[in-house]
Amino acid sequence: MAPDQLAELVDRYAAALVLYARQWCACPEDVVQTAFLKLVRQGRPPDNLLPWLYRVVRNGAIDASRAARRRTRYETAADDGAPKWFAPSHDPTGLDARTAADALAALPAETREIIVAHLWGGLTFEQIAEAVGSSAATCYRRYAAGLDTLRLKLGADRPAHAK
Amino acid sequence: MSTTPNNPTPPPDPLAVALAKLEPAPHGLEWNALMFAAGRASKARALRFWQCVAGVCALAAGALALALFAR
Repeated sequence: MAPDQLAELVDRYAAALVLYARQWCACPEDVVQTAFLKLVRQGRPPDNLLPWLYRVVRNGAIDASRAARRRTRYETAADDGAPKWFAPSHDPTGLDARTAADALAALPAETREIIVAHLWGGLTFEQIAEAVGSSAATCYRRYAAGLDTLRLKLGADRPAHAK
Repeated sequence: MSTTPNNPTPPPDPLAVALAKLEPAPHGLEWNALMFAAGRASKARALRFWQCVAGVCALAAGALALALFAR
C-alpha cells in the first residue's frame, strides 16, 4: 500500500476508529495504529475494507481491554474514557458533547458499538453485521433500541413518524 | 400512475442527526511514528526473505569450512 493511500485512510477513518475502540480500552490509538499496520502488512487491501478495519479494531480493543483488566483489576477503561469521546461542541443548539458521551457510555457495549459504527463510522447495518459477526436485522434492532434509550436519557423528542 | 413507493424511507431520526453532528475527538495518532512503522511493516516480508537467504548462506559457508577443515 502506497504511503498516500495510507495517509488518506488515516485522515478519513482514524478519528471514528479511535472513538470505536475507546469503548473498550484505554489505549485506542495503539489499537487503531496496529490495525493500520496489519493492513499495510497484508499488501493487498481486503475487499470490504471498512468492515475489515472495524473488525480488526474491535478484536484488538477487546484484547487490550482484557489485558488491562488482568493487570489492574479496575473497572473497564471505557468508563473513565467517556468524556474524551467527542470534541467540545461549538453549536449552542446542539447536544452537549460530555452529556452525550456519558449517555452513550451507559449503554450496553453491544448496542453502543453499533450506534458508534453507524453514526460516526458511517457503516451500513450490513457492514456493521460483518464487523461484529451478527445479522443486519439484529444490528438495526439494537440500534433502534439504543436510540430509544438515549432519547430517554437525553430528554429528546421522538421522531414525528414514530409517534 | 403514482410513483410513490409503498414503503417510503422515513425521515432521519432527529436524535441520530444531532448525535452525528458531534465530532469525534481528534485521533491522536503520531503521524511520523505511524508512517515509520508502516514503512517497516511493508518491508517486513522482504526483510524476512533476505534474513533467510543470509542464514542459508551462513550455514552453507559453515558446512564448507567444516568440509575443508576435515580434509
